[in-house]
Amino acid sequence: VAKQVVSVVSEWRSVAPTVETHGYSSAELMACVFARQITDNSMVGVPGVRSEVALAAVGLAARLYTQNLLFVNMSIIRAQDHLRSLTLTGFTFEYERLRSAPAIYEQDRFYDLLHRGSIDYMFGGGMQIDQWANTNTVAVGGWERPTLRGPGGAGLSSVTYAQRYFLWLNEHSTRVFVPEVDFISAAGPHARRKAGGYRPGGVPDVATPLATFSIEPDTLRLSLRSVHEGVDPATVVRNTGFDLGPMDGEVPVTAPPTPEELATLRNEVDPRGILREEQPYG
Amino acid sequence: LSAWRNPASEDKVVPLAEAIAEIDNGMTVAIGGTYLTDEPIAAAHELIRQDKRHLDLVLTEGACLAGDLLIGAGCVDSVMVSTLGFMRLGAIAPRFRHAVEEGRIRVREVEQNHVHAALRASAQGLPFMPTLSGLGCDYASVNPDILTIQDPFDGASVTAVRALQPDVMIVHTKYSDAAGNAQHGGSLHYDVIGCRASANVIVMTERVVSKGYITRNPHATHVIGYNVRAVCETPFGCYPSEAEAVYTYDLDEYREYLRAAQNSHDFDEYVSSRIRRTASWEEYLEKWAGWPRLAGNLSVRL
Repeated sequence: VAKQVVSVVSEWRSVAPTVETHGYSSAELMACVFARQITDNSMVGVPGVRSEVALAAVGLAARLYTQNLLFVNMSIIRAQDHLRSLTLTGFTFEYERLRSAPAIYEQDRFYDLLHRGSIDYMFGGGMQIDQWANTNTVAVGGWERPTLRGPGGAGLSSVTYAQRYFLWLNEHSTRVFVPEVDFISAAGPHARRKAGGYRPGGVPDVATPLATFSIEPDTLRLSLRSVHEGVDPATVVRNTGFDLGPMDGEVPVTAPPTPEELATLRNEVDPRGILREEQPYG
Repeated sequence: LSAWRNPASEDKVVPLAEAIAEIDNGMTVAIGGTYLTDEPIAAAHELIRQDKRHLDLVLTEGACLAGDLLIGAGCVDSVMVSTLGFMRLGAIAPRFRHAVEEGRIRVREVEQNHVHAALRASAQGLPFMPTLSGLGCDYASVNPDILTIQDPFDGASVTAVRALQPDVMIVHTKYSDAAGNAQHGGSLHYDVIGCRASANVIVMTERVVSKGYITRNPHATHVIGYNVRAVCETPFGCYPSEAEAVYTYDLDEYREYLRAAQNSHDFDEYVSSRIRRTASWEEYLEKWAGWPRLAGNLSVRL
């Protein structure tokens, strides 16, 4: 039984794009998918706990797709010209990143920006995600005595108050894509609406090693938007623990990284090749 | 005679061990810093060396080594934290994870802005603070200090977070004067709101500087002496974390910790060799880091 579980949980690995099979990694593709959606003259933030795909997307957007971005994270603010020199180190906060920042501020101010809806794009992830785009970084199994204790909710429920937020998952399996998360640590649009919140908050987009998803505006459920090169939609369905609804016609294929995107990523944004390494679970 | 000085005192410089000795078992202790940056590790060591028990920890988002050490060493009964992990080195702090999965500590489950809200309420002398954080989430169902309430004016839902006043907050700063007016080297983390909310503050600093040094640039003072009870000069006090603008982190030492922390036997050995069997922070640095390694990590000349 244990062997079976392992094979189901890891099926995505044999299908997801890799440098060997596709010439680019899933993480590189996810960074491109998000970078293309970042529009000019916007304010973009990255989370702290895990940030490599987020920082890569921002670094790429700043070099290829925008003239004017304002970048904020938990303690600093930077403008586009500095983002063009941003490179991945594997860590979000380093003194290096503070150099030439015009301001350093208290962490709680960053949350104020999120809650006011001032931040246009933000990033997040989770150990579990469900059909409503609720995510869980707290506990798998019961909260009292979890089978897997996560790092905690971080600021991810605040992240959902960015106008748009990008969720990336490094694993696409039925242990990650579940019908209902075991603990809602960041609520999707449906759960926020049900709670009758003072502000509706933002809209998520999701990318995984197999596919991309967006929110259906009427039902507020996640729906499949595209599958990556070489991925059969049936594989996505099999590795997703909730109903994706009827597949009407062809599912579009996620545009692979362009030569320009890939060159920019590898030469400028991620010269250390962090996005080509094995990405951690969750 | 308490080692903690009167808040109005002009000279609060005391050895770290004496300042930590004033912390009683069972107190609510907030720890400053974020991720691999500005963690007051020397204070965590001292709390363990003095075998403090039943602490109620308050940590910020991305709390890291200090929290995991204290939890693993058995100093902690409960912890308010929104994330405890080591970023790419290990997303989930291992001793925290084991303690929770084995039911040995109580988690005050929060989203990061719940921490800010609880502290903001305390800083303003209010019983609670409304926030949008956690609406539609499960925090309120497991944490009695979080409720969903109706906006009394317009009726929409907001989250109410009960005020929290830490008994003491421990922060690390680059420079401080003897009265505890202290300046960070870089990021401010949640240290500012934490100090504003806490009953008492212990300032760890890389160097005690003159009053004149601080008054030359008062805008850089973010920890204000008015509730500081002790100023502890602790060079390399964050090691192996980074003190922004002073020295960078030591990833090898983090990796060494994470290897040991995977099981309780190796963790106990790590704690007893590096902490319980060393007499002081200085001895730890000398024996386990070594001055050449520390000097190699310096970002700037002190």
